[in-house]
Amino acid sequence: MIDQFERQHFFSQQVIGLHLRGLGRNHGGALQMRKQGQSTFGIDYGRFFSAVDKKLEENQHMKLFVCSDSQDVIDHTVQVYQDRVITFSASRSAFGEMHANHQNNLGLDFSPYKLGLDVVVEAYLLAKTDYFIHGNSNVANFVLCLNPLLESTYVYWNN
Amino acid sequence: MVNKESEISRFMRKQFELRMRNAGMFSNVNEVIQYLHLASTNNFQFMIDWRHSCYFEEKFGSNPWEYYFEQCFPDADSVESLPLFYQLANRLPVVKTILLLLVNKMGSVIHCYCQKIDTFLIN
Repeated sequence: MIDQFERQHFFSQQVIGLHLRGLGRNHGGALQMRKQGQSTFGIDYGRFFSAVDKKLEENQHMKLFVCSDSQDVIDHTVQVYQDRVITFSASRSAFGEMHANHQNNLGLDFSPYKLGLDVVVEAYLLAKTDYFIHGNSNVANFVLCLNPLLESTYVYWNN
Repeated sequence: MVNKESEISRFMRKQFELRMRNAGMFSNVNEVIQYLHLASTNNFQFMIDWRHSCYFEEKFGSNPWEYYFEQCFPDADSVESLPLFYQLANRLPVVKTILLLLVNKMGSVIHCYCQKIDTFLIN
């Protein structure tokens, strides 16, 4: 599954990996960090997109592989970067944070197995990108363990 | 109160069980990685038990860890959880210490982790 996706989307072009959590995330310092940034709909898009734009100035042909637990984040990123965006068909809710029982996700039905599989596949794919942009996340930690030589931007550094 | 010395001696010869915490996939995976480091330096083994996990789905088996990964120590077989003092020690300052040691060995590759942890601690 990972190799097939990589062959289909990554081989012929340089790819930026972007990992950006949705509003559902409120642990790991997320609330404090959101206060620092330029939030749009409660998400600190400004900081992440600035890093993307900076990388695109170096190579305007790069694609953008976006991973998020939130469909709202994916939709907003597609609005901004349009055809440049690549996504994996993961299970997502508008709100995000689906491994926890959030009130905002009531009524939604996810396969627990697929939730786990999705994040594992996305992490392995992020590790295969050419440049990685991320915030505070255990997913990002794992991606950088998988590929320690991956060039990356940690968007909260120096702020 | 845990008797640390007896716990250490017990710990050095045993096999243990590492259960999933109430957190997401890679919070727990990174904990396993950290315990692998501790296991290699302290000569113990552990089996990974995610039976009580948000990823459990009966038709795929009883232990969600094994849906996605292999057991790190296939021969480890225990129902005894890791000693309490080790679980308490398994917190951010310990992670930072290990990472700083890695920075000294590996240079800037790991440096970003320490930046992240510093930011987290400041906040």
